[in-house]
Amino acid sequence: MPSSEEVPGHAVASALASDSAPAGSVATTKPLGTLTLASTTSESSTPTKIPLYKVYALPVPIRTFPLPAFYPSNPISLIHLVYAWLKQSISPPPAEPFIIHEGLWDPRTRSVHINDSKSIRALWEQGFFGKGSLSRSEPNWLKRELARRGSLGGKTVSEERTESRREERRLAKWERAKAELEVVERQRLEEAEAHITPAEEKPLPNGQLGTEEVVVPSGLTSLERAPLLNGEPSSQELPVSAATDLILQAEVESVPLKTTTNVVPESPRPPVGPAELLALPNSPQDLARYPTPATPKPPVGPADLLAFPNSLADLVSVPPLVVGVASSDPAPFHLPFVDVPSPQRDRQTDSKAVSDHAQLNGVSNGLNDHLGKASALDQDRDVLVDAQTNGAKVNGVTETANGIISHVPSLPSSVPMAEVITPQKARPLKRQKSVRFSPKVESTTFQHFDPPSPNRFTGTPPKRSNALNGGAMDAVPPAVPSPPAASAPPAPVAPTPLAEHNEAVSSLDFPVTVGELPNREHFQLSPEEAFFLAFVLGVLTVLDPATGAPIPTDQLLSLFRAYSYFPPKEISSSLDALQPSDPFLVNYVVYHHFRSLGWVPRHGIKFGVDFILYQRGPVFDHSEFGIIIMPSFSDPLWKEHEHDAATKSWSWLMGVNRVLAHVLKGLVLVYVDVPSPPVFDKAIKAGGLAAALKQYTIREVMVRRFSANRNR
Amino acid sequence: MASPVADRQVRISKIAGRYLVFDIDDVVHIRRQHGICSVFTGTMPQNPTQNVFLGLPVELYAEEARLLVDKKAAYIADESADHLSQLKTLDETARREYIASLKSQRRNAQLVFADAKARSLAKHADKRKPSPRDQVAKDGPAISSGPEDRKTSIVDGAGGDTLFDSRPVSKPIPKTVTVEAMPAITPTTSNALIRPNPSSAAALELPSDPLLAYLNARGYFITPGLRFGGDYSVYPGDPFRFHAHYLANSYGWDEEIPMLDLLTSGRLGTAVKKSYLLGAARNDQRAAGGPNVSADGDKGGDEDVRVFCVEWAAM
Repeated sequence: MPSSEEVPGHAVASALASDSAPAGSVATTKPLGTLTLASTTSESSTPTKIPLYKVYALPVPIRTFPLPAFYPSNPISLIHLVYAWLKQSISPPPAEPFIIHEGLWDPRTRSVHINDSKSIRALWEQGFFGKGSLSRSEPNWLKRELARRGSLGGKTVSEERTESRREERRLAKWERAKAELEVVERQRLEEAEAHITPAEEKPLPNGQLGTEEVVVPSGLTSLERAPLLNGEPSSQELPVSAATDLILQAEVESVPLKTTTNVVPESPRPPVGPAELLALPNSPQDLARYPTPATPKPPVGPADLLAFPNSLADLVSVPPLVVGVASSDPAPFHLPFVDVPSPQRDRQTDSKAVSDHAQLNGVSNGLNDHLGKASALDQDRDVLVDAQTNGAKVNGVTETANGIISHVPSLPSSVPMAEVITPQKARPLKRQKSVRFSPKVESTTFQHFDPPSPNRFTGTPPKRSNALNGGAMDAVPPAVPSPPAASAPPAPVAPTPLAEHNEAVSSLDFPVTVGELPNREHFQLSPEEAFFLAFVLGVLTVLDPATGAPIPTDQLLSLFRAYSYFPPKEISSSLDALQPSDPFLVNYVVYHHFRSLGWVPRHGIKFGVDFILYQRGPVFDHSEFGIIIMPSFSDPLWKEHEHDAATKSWSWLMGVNRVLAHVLKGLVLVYVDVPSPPVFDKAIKAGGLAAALKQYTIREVMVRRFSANRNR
Repeated sequence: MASPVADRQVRISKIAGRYLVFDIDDVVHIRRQHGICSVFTGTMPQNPTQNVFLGLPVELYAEEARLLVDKKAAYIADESADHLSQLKTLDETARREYIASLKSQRRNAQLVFADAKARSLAKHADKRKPSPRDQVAKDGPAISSGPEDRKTSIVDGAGGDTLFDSRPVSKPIPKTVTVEAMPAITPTTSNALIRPNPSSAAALELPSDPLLAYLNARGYFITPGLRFGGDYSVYPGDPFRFHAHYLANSYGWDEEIPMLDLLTSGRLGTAVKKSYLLGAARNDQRAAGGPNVSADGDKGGDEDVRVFCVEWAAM
């Protein structure tokens, strides 16, 4: 799909296109037509980059050698013409098709596979035929994989860009929703201020003795002291520096644990509800400025959502585990969080848990000016998604291994994590993706690397989880602290940077060079494309998978026709089973029609249409039209032969049109008048398929919805 | 209407192949009691030049009508035949009853009108307090004089022949004219004239949709799903309270579903934050005498509907 990838290409192209005229300041000093000029102006790192219009110069994999144009006003053009003519007549270029590609018919996928990389590139670049089996359309799995493994030969491909763009959009929506809710929260706060007298100050949520004097910034009211006090028993200036952080860290290690030993700890109130979650701090900057103790992660990402308790029984099984979250920023600042609600906790949808604490927490953050780029969300998601692959039950452990501090209110901090986790472990949470309709929508997107069902991964956890934390902990009896978990220090040490964590994710991969990694992707041509290449252009021979022999064109036709039914019809049973209205023939007629007119038709199954039409190709522009093929049997001779009745309904048409409207394409209904069997058979006997194809007529009807209220 | 709520029989008029409900009480009843909120298709008399907001009658899907009939909550009246035949066979007492009911309706309408008129007069009087003296003199007695005067004003409104000189003329006339000057009404239904005939055979040819019945039995509300490219949009409660959760298509048990349709609906459903729901009933096949019915012939009842949801995962 066209994306920012094309932008440099276009820049170069425009520079080249205008290089007969002075193009920019550099061009005036250089001779005309030099490619170096473009490379100096646009990019110096990749000087050999070929502009897209040159890469994709040929519309079909056939070269033509036209004689140059003759301009009577320009005598030199005559010389050019004569020279070209002489050259071509003395040493004629090789007969086209010069290169004949080989493809292998694959009956299971009903496509023609191509494995030779040169053929793949040729077919893709010259007419956008086929698609990569592991890619969206352009076969770029190898590049993607190399880029993923950190190799220099890799390249960020369009799929990745689409992914990141979607991610950005999601975050932007998140930010927008947050901003809206902040306004609401501010209003609520103002109203609450008007009602509550200072005497009604809230008890401290963590059961701490709130005797300390806290320097509250002038903008914050007394109401907000509670959340501020929650984790920081000491007085401090709110815009903390790294130094105060370190001091605080020391205090945190001693103070809150002591205070909580005899006081029954009020369970940390989780920020339930979207408003509270949205109002939580968004980036490390926010955390540094206002070290609000409770920074539960908003449940972005599927892993968090899946880790929600599914039933009341799940809620009971969650232990009073308190997990602190350290910033994953590689900078040495470290936030001394003590009682962040555990991930399970803060997600429970108990209505009672909608506490003042959570609300105030949200408000105090909401008052701040959030300009964070939501990077924290991203990191959280990474961590959690990772935890998800281990199953939700080792969630806490994973975070520990990633440098996240954990405390239990009633336990000294030296207790190994395994003991802390045990009650949780005793009852593993089994989660599956399920559609649950709740009044609030936390997330509607799933990452492409998410397992379709987390349970599949609990059976065979990845290597890393075994090594780092208790992937093996399931086997260990609960009382015995498992060595890997114990080795993960629960004390607040400097957090592992996220970079390391990310490396650990791909620890089984290592940077590879281009030659080392075999290309596991093959190229697939649909039957229509393959037949067009073989029958019209002659640049493709399709091999029989059984014998390895090339299939002649007429057999190829009957093969494709037979396989356009499900289950495929028997080829040997003569042509009786095959009809002029075979789906393959009808599709091919349309494909041939649009190809001949210079469009680039590609299969449009993901938009719910038969074909989509590109004007130049998927690299250059978006497709403009979606095509629905409507076989029509208007020939009166059809009355004697059975054929499929049209079964399309209005609701179907509305649905298709709406889908295409969403993706800004026009809907074209292509009616194919199918000749009746006698006419078709006669034609195919007389002149072969080419004559038979002439019996089909095509009518295009463009459909657009008219709404009286919108189309004024 | 409080007591016979349970066994209220809704009259569904079949007119030109459409199933219409004309009585507003019936519309409320089927919506509240049976979870069927259909589409208003009539022009609103108050605002006849627009078609964004529509009024009575309500049009039911044939399947919905069948569902109501099956629940014994409604009967189908084939109006073109039924209406005329009933009118022809009307005897004298029924005729008199009907006229009496019309009169009572007119009386009711008159009261309503009078009430509204009085209220508007009072409002205007409040507004025009600082207005010139003659206005006060005119409006003052109209308010104070009570019911008789109200009637006169009604006469003015209904008669229409006293456009400009209503004020002076109306005063002496009222007591004599009141009875005849009751407002003319157009009854929305002829329920008083026509007796219910639940044994109509029209219901038998109605198509039934097991998926609709299945969803309805589970408390889902259904509106037409044309704009989402499906048969129904399915709401978990009254559409006034909820967005649709599903976009539903009903299929036959052995019907082949084109892949493209699944894709289209699944994609569209997810794009509008719904799930694409498809369902079929097993006994469809049994009714059609399918080949392998006997395998699980005695397993399911009428409710043997299976339902699936499809969601587009890559968006």
